Amino acid sequence: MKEENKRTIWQGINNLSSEIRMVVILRDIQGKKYDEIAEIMSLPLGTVKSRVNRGRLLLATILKEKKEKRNEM
Amino acid sequence: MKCKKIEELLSPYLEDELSPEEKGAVAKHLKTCENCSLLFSYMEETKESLAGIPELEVSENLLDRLYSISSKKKRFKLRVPSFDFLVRPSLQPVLTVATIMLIMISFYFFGPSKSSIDKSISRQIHLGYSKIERLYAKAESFTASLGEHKDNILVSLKNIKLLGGNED
Repeated sequence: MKEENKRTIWQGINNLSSEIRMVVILRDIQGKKYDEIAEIMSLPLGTVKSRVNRGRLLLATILKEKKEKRNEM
Repeated sequence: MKCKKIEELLSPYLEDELSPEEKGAVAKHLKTCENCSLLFSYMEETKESLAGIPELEVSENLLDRLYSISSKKKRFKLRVPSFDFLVRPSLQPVLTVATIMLIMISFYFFGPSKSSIDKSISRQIHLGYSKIERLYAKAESFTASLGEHKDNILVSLKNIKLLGGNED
């Protein structure tokens, strides 16, 4: 079950747009701070935060839809 | 607050970055709205499993090789500008002439009639020599005949009014 979630999330990351994927990877996989990411990507801090938020929301939605589908089956 | 607004605050709520009022509002909304709380729980799950994804460690050897690619490229790039003047458009006529010359030279060296070309070239050279010799001979006879009439010529030159000679 947990492995399957992981795979779903991993596929979800690959389907994200590159600009969102990058910040999500830096933030949630590499565990970098927001200001570090802003420096690396040379983006404003607010943009980084909103992109991370958007990425997490998208991944959460993907996970949610997947689980709903599984429950229907 | 509406769900859309709450969604924007979920990520900072997850990281505990909200002001106390916002935090309270989100917590209150999550208690009442099933959809948002479900989404939030999935977001937590996502974050946890993302943190559990191991990063691939790249071996030192591979890293060195990867880095050396860029330096190789740079070295290659540095070498290119020294030759790029050859493709400048202003050099096109020169290159054209050089190509034609090379083709002609290669005809001479690799063509079947090399010896006959050699022969005709040497004949032309000898013809030139003999012409020059004849010219020399003519010039010598001319100077000799000049020597005979030297005095007469000098006198007549002096007598030409145009040169301001006096009549004596």
